[in-house]
Amino acid sequence: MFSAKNESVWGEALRMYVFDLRRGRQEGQEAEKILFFYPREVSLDQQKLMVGLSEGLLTFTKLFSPDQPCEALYTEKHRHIFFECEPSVWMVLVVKRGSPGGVDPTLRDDALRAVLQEAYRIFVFFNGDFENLLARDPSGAALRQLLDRTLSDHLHNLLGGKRGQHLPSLGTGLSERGCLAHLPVDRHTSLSVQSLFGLVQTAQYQGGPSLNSMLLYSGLCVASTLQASDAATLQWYIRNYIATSSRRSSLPSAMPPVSSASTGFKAGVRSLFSNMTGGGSAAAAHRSASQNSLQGTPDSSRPASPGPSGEPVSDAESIPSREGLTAQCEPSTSGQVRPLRGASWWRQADGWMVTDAWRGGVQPSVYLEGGRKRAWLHIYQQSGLMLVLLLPVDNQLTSLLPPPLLEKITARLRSLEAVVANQFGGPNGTHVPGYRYLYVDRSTEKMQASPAGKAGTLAKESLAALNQIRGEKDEEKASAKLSPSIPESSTEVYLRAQNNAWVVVKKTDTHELYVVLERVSETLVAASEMMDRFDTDILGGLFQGG
Amino acid sequence: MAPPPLPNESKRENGGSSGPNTVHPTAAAAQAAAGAASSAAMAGVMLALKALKTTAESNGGVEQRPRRRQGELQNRGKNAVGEPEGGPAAGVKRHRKKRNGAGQGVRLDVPMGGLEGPMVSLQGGPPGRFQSSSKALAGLPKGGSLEKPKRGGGAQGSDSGASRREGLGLGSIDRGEGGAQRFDTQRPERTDEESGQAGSPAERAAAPSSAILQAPPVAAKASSPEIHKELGDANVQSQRGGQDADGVQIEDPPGVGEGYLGSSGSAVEGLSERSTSDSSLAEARGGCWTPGKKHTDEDDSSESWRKRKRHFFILSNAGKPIYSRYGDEHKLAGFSATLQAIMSYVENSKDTIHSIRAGAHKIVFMARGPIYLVAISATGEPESSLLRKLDLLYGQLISILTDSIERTFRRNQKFDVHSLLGGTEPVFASLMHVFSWDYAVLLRAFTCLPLPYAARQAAGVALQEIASPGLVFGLLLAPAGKIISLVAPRRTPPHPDDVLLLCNFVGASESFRTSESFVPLCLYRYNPSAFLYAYVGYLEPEVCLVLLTSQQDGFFHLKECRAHIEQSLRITGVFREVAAAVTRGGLRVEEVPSASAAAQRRLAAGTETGEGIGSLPSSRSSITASNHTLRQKQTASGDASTSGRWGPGRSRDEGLSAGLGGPAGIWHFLYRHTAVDQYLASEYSPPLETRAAQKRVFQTYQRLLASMQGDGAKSGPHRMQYRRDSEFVMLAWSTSDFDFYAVFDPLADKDAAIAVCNRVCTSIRQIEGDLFQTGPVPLAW
Repeated sequence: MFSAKNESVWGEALRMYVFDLRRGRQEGQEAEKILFFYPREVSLDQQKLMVGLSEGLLTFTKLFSPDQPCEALYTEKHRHIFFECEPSVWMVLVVKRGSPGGVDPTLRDDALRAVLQEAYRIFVFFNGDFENLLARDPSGAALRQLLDRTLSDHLHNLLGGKRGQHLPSLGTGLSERGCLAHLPVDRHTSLSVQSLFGLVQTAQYQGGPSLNSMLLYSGLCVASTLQASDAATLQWYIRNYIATSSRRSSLPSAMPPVSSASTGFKAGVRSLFSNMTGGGSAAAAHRSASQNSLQGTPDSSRPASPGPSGEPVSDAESIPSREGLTAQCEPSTSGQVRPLRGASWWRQADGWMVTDAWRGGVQPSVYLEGGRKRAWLHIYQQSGLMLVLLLPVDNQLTSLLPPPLLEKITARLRSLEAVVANQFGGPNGTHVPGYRYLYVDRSTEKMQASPAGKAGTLAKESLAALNQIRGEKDEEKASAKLSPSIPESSTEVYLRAQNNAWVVVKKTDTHELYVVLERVSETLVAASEMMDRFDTDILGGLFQGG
Repeated sequence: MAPPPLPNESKRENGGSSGPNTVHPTAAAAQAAAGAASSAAMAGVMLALKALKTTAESNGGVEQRPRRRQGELQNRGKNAVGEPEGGPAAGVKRHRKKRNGAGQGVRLDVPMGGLEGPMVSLQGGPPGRFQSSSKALAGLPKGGSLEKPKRGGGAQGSDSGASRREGLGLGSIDRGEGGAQRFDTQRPERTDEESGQAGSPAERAAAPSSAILQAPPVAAKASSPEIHKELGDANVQSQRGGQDADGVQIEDPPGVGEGYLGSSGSAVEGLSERSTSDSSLAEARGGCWTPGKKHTDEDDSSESWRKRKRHFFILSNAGKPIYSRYGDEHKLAGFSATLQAIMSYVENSKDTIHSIRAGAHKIVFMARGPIYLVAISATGEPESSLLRKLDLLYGQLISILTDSIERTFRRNQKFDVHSLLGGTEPVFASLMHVFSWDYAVLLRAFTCLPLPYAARQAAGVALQEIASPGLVFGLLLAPAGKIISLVAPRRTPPHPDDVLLLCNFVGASESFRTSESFVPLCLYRYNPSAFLYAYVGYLEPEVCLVLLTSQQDGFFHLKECRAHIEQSLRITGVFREVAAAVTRGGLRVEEVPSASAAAQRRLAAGTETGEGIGSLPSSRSSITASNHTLRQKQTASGDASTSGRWGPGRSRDEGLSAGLGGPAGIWHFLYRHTAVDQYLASEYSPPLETRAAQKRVFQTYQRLLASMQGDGAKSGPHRMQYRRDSEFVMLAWSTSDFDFYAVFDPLADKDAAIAVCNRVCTSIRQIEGDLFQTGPVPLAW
């Protein structure tokens, strides 16, 4: 039980913790369950109390719902959102309800749960899944260290509103965390991009590794061969941590001075680029890079004091000292990787992006498919276009891309860049006058939405009504998941709020459309006609007849 | 309209239980009523009603009235009983009952106006009045309509003030002949009870299990020496009566030591005993429900118990179980302690737990002082709906115990409340059924039996005529909790929740039908700290009279009032109208006037009432104005005025095919009259004839209403909603005057659905006097 001194156990701000139900089962070993707790300042006793409550609720709710135990707890002052990220491993987000300092009390659960899901995906993207990490180190120390660094950095940025991140709110009702922001292009362009990816894929038939590719323009995904969740996480990282950096240091002169003895990742990239431009031997360069990386040679190319023209972009916090850190290619257990803190990316003159986020000059690598697959991360930027190549680490970096192939790819990128730029339409390119909308394709986890600036013009009543209806739809989706034998039917909702705005939801088994119409005739028929026009003009009649 | 057939008559004569939808089977009752009606004392009333009926019949069987606003309803009510042209001053004058040595009389001054001549003063002689009802019952065949054929007690009241006093003094049990049950004054039986010791369960169990007559609170509060003395002889009689093989059981008085808690506990004690095999009650509630607690052998270790769709629990803040919908409370002590631990765990951090979500399950908590209520539901209903039900569950508990139970728990956490709740299982079980089927729970309103306006007014007049200084509310109830009439002499109308719980309390036991009862009951919205005393008596199988008084010794007076009301209702033909209305049922969607009929009506009216959902009239004024114009036109246009009319008494053939198979396929609707907190639900029509379909509709409405209400903070209440899924198209429309909810065929066209909604709303507004009680008592709270 809580004592008086524990009054602040719930605190005023956000809490996030991760615990493993399989651990610490003996009395007195409760702390063993806790893998991560944010913020660190909370005393261990209080941590145990909160985790104990969560565990108790899970046990209790399993009585009635063994397959889906506690998902959310609502109290007068707080909300606890649960997410079972891996079997028996739970993440819990505790937020204060209402102002000041809390989230809106009516904010839908899934918007908050998406924060947990995003945090987990980010962790796995950079570190691999919990199961593997615990298998390597059953004591959990390595996992705790990685969680502490990755999630703390993420929450630090999220709560601080840094790098364009923010907690969900009613105002973000026309966005979907964890979905791929999609740039719609015409059919010809889409085919061109697919052709480009096909060209990249031919590398494996020529003896190279199988590649995953992703093409972005101004942070929006044009096309991807990745799994939807991987693509969304990669896009999230590029938009928040790389695109901002590259925009600020995209000039060739921004390339930091590279010593003749440059090694590691940059050497590898440079040799890759040289291969693309027909110079040198790619195989030799990559072998050299790998060898140097494995030898742990520090990256001496990083500027000791970045110059004005080549200033790397990083967080306000100073980058931790590298002393004591061991450069290596395997970032999983060393705790060296802090891609979310102090990360800097540069665009070199050859177009390839380099970073110091992976300390010690190691090759940036990420985990795909829920941690099952690890791949090297290569990013090539050409004006607004960004081509991301993900090479499996278990492949030899030999014959990455034969020179003739690279030349073709480069040429395609140049031509695509102009075409996609024409179709981009600027920051408000997805805006449709009279409509504020969000369209989500669940099969590909793609979304298209009104620009944030336009969505921000909606009245509070409209946003609250939208949030309410979305919450109801979330529940329906959850119910449908519980009964997979019953196919999800198409549904349609028109809600007229107190401010006379219409909130419209259309949903099929894989498509969701949320629209707010604030300037429309007050009749249901008029709103329906407007929606039909939107469906026809923007979505190609996706919801008609449903 | 001809009286409906009497389907259960033969059954009743054979001693079967009475069904709620049957009319009184005995010819003797009709004769008694006719005899009373022919008496000179009632001649004026009869003449007035005859004139009224004549007027109604000349209008095609449905009374034609000009539409008026609520403020005008008072005058409309006067017109219904023959208001003279002279103006309001010549309206109905009601006088309070005046008692004299010969008994209580009711002076009913009915101005006959231009209809029947000068004002007639009526001095209803008590003997005749009171004898009429007792004669009716006494005239029953042996083992007639009463539940227990061999039961000796009959409902017969004291015939005069003198005999009433005599009854008080002697507590005589006057048994009717022929096996008809007679009412008896109830008295405390044992001196230990008088001193505060509740009767032992064993003693109560020893009593016959039927026809338990409720002890009036005057007996319950037996601490008064005068009452003790006065009741002394009655005790003997009562005790004898309790041991009588005929089955008349005198209700134990409450334990004085627990005050009114004991009183209430005692008052409801007999309910469980009464409610055995309440088949007619089940029939009234849909035919699939049997009263009483079920699955008592289960506990939290039972897989079947865990898989129940919806649990409700009441527990004390010490973790002691008070009530569980399923399972035995005593076996659920461990589970109850777990619930208490969760709530306390959060409470100790200066927070309050509200709810938990786990897959399809929602667990909702509510703390009311030291009483905790928990709902665990996997039905998909919104949390707001579960909270509402927990609140009603709490209200039902308070209605039995008053909120003094909270003080008791504060004083003694280990207090065992089961002794006070003994026998109330049927009440809670019935409430659980109400939660799943009664739209009053969703709409926070009550519903009226569709009746011709004149009949409802006559019923209201009959209720208003009684003069009882302590009378708080008077209700005439039809089966399924439908209100025939409701009066609030103190101008404080009851809250719909109180009406709901009261109806549930009365409807939970079939045995209220067999005897007059006087039970302490708390209306938790009215005053959660005090008891009122409810006189409950069935005037007809489908008409229940409930009079709520603040006077604990008001039984005899209310009994006299009942006789007067019964006579008045019989004279005015209200019983016949009610029986017809019950047989007829509510409105049906098949009878929605078609577009052509509506157009014809509009054409006849010469006005285009094109406003509606499609164009959203923003206020009632537009509709009212158009309808007012319409009525004027109707008056002038003869047949055209009734061609599109829809309402009670209209046969299905006259209705058109806007329901199943119609262009918009409306299946069901709910209409809530905001100003009077009353609602109207259409009857279930095909394809909603199955219970499963009806339950889906109910749950759909549940979600729709919660969605329209919003979160109550930033979102909602909303103005309109249209939903379409694989099962239904749903339409909700909320204005300042009414809320409308409808369920359509999933393939219903949007435009056509809107048009049907407009027609339904317009039609309801045209006959709202028949569907709602809109006056003369203001029902705004």
